[in-house]
Amino acid sequence: MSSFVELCLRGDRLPEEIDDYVDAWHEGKSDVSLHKFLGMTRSEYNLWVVDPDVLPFILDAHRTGTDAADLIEEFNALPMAARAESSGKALQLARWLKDQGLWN
Amino acid sequence: MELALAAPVRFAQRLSEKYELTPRVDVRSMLEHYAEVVDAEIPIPGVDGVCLNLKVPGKRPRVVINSANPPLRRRFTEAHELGHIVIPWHRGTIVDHLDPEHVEAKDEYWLFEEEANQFAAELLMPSNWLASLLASTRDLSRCHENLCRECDVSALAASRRLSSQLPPNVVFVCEKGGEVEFSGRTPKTLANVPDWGSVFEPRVFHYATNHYVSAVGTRRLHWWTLPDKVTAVSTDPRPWREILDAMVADIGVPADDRKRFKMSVNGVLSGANSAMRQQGTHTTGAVTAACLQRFHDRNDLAGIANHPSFMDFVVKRATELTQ
Repeated sequence: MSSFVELCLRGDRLPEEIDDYVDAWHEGKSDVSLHKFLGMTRSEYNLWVVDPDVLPFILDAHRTGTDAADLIEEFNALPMAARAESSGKALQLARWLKDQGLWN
Repeated sequence: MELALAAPVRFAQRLSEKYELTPRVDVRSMLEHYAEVVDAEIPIPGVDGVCLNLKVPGKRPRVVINSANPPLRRRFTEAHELGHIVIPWHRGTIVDHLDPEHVEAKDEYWLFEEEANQFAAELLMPSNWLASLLASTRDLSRCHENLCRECDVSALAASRRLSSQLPPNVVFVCEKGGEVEFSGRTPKTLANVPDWGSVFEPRVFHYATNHYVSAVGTRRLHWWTLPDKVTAVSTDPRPWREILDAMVADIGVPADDRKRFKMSVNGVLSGANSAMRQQGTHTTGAVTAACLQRFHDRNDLAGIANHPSFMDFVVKRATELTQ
């Protein structure tokens, strides 16, 4: 049976459906621990318990074979970094969004 | 990084399953379920929308849709932005263009844009729904028209979606005011399509097996299916070289240019032959059909392609090449 993380990386489950998996683990008689049932390492599970919003980083860590904590740290350093066709366009847009009060 | 084609499509399917979405999908409500949505005229050219605070812990995403765009484009942008929100690895702030021109570069930005487009196309025009539509009629222009109407998408978005689901040897043109508004072909089709903005020529694919036409507003949607094999037999006793020499003389190619011209003819023929070999359909009939597509594309070879002996020449060459 595929774990939640595996299903989610294939697009067969939405990240928001993790709670259904947690419920299924509680209701079932699984021999494996919850983090293994979900497809996370223990450290990833610990990160997720503290802040469920880090789930996308855990998923991306599995997708790219990197460390979730590193991805979170990297992201937190530049959380508003804009991806755009060109850096000039990103800057222009950022200025406009700030003027409109839409940046934060 | 590899282009991950499947997951974005499956995310859209999963979302539709979970929220029981069917065409016409209320994409705006879905987007508002996940994000704060703002409509504003974005004064920066080419920007369809922007998605802020994607996956920022503790923050709700904010989506700004360029209200200067036409309604159907805004609707596709909304679906595209929803894709960025749902796909877990899209994060930060993404400035969106629906028509990535540099996708071949495959950097992360264009990869994310392509993934969000795949998500949007599947959400608005679900593949299972489209499969049922295609099974209900052979008239591709009618399918195109239904897709526009039932899914509430632009003719361009519908044509891209429809062509992605069809086999090779299908071409289409959207005609508006006597001009080609846009055109395209299905993957692995050899025939080139008329340039966007060029004058529409109704007989452009006169050798097609079928030609379907439907009207949507002021547009006419033309779809052609081109032959994938031609089972013709030549009764001309001459060898192909002799037929080619005679055709070249008939169409008035100056003596000095004949060698170069014949090299060009043989080059086009070799290209068609290689393409069929690569596609695994290396038969006389398939190479002959491929030659039809290749020769009728070229204005400089129109004289040869319309010559009464052209098919004799092609069949003889195709037979020799596939033996």
